[in-house]
Amino acid sequence: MNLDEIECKMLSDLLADRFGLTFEGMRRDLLATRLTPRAQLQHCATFAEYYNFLMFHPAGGTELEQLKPLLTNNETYFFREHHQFEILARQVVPALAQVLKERPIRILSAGCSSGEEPYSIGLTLAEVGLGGGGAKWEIDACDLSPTRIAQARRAVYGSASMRAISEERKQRYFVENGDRQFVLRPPHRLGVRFFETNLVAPYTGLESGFYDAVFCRNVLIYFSEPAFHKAVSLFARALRPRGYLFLGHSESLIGRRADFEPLCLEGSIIYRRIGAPGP
Amino acid sequence: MSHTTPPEERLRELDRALDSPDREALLRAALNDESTLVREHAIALAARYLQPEVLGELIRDEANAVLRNAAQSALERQGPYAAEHLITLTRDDDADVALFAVQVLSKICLPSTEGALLPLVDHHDPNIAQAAIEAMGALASRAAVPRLLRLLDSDPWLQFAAVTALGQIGDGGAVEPLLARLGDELLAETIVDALGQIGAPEALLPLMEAMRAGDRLPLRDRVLLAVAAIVEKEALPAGIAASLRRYLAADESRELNEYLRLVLELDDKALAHAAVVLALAGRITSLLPAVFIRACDCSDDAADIASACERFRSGLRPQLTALLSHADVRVRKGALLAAPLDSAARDTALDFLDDENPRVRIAACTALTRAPSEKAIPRLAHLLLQGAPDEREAAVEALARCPGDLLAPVLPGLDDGIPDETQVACLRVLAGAHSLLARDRVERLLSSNALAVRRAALRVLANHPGETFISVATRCLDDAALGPDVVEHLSRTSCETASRLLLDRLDRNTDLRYHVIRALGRLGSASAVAPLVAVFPACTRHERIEVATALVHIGTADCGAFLESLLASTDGDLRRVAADGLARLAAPHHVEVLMKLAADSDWVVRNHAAWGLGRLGNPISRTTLLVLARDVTPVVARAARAALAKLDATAEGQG
Repeated sequence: MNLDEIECKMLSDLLADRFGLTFEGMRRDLLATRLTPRAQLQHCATFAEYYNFLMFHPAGGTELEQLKPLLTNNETYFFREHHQFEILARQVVPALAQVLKERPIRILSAGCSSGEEPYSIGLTLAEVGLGGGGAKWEIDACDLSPTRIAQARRAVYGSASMRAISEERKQRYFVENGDRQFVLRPPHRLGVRFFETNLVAPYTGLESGFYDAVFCRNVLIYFSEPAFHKAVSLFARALRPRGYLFLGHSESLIGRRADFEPLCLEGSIIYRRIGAPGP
Repeated sequence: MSHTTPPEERLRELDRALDSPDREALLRAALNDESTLVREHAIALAARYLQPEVLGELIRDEANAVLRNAAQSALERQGPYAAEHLITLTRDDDADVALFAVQVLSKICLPSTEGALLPLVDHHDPNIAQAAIEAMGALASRAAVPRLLRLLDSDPWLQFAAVTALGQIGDGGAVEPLLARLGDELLAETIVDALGQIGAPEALLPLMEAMRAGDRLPLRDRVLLAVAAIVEKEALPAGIAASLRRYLAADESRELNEYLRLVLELDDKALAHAAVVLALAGRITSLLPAVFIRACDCSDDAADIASACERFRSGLRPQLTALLSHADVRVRKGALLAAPLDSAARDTALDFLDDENPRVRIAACTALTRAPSEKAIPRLAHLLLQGAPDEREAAVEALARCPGDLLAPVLPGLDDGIPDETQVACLRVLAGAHSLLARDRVERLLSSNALAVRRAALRVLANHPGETFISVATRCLDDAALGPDVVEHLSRTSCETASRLLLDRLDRNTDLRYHVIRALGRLGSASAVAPLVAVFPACTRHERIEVATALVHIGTADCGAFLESLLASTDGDLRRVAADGLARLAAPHHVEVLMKLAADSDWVVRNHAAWGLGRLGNPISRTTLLVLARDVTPVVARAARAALAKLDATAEGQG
């Protein structure tokens, strides 16, 4: 099915409004490829018909929910961009050493997909000795896609998710099942809570959190400019003063936000919240 | 605006400022905002609400590059609206202002500016000259070619710009002068790129010589891309094609062929594709195994290689048997996936349907999809009925390309007790082949418990002649799950009975009505207009949108009148459909209505208005379209520019 410029803008605006995601310009072919099967399933011969279905048909809202897992590239794996986990272990945790004697460290994994990132955070914290006698961390992990959240809760992974993990860690933390998949051992799932949310919705469930760090990597690249700022403003409110924000290597706040300062730690740029916490 | 407020809040303040008497000052300030989000929005608004003369003053600001760049961007967005003032600025005493004006005109790329920009190619200021040269390239100006050729002997920066522009223009007259300078170390890469873009066959052998030369190795990859571009552009004259083959077969080309072999293994898709093209066009037999190994190993490239093989099939034909019996299974599989099969090769492919390797069996099915063979039907049917899921899928694709009346070996898959997924696969074959076999058996499957089977059976029966399908459709319309499929198939018939059958359902307030309305629109039946208009008041909102859309598709004069009445609706989405309909159906006397819609607050309505005014082509809409060409929404601005281009073309034709 051909997606013309007008149809693309109308669908993009709809998806940006509902999910914050952008599909304008270069990604038009990607949008067409991903939406065509759904449009055909709804007996729509054109994307204009499909737009009308999403907007006006009583089942349009349900159909929009079905689009969630189709709209992003969910590719991720354990310890992706491993240097950031090393920074967490060697820089962030020591900086919080005093306060962590009184309370658990709280971390948000925003856009967690199938759970590799939040579990990697948990494993990192365990390796620096925060565990023992119950988890000394609280990791909240959220994603737009209910399918991905369900996968994350199951904690069963294929070889693609394991590509950057050492053999030693694989043996220590996983059990291989009969289908050549790797199951994360139950003790290592403790302290990680999964839930579904939309980072640009009016209510996300994150507003009252006081996180020490937020991981949001390779998510904001899919966001329109207004949605990007909405999400980063959310993180600014959700972080404690001087809390840390970890972004993907191709994402940047430099020149775009005055409420975060860039820090160069071990050769990588991490951002720190400045100013008082929001309401 | 206060910079302690978040960017989102400053955006809202900016939108509120549009109604303020200080609008111009506020926009000018916002063009200088520290946030790119705010600046981008300010640029869109400035293009719409500030005059080119105001923006032109801002590009004089030597101290503030942010403001200057923002003003340039706004002028660019104004497009044809700003062209006249920009042309004036190209003669400004301030060389920087003149330069910026030329650069913006280059990006706007209006054919009507070519005459004003051409003399600037010889400007005494080299920066302005360079910008004008780039503009000539962007405009693909053939009138500029003689001047550009003269510049090949001038200042190096102008040489680069001239060579690049000559490549973009694509005039064959530039080939010899460019070839004469191929030895220039500084210019060589740019010349090679330009020759590739021009695509003239006479450049082929000199470029091959450059690729073979041992002292030009850093240039080799660029030359390969250019050579492939020339070969692909159009069929080579027979003499040049033969010369190319002789050149590549010569002993002196052994090292060059080894280079091509290495390139075929690279991850760089563009280079690998170029190597494939040269290997096939040059009939380099020793490289063919590597080509087909690539087709086997890189599934993304297989279709691309198949397309190239089809293009150069005459050279491949003598090699097919050897490739299909190659010792390396990857070569055999790659050849099955990508090589064009003649009848002898097709018979070899048949034998691969029994290969012990399932990947080879699937590749054989793929080959038979591209080159259908009746002899393959029994073995393909066996794979469909007995094979693993991926083999079944591959067999379906191949069988669906076979003559429908020869598909009897597939019919056992429709029997009772056969698994649903196998029945669906067999039905997909019959549907794809437009087969009319076993109609009774297929009709029985309309009663299957499995929806997937019922849908697949319906698809087969939809291939039968119109009235035959109607009797099936009438029965199936009451199947709640199948109803939408029935309606969709009815919308593809062209018989009046289908329209009557659907009209009978129009008054029934069921979930199916929405689909029925849409199908009537697709059928385009004029007899549906009055019933659609009559049912409109009783429809739910989403059905009303479909009624309006259906009337747009049907497009009679009655439809136009009804749609025009919907322009007064308070429902914004209905107005959008009405504007679309008016744009498509507008008669000359509707031009005033469309000009009024061009000022609508809804970008979709403005876009339809632009399109409609372009269709009508009335010169009185020119001023309206010039305003739309500055629209805040880029897609509307582009529609307006396209409409203006049509007006200009019509005026030129009449002039």
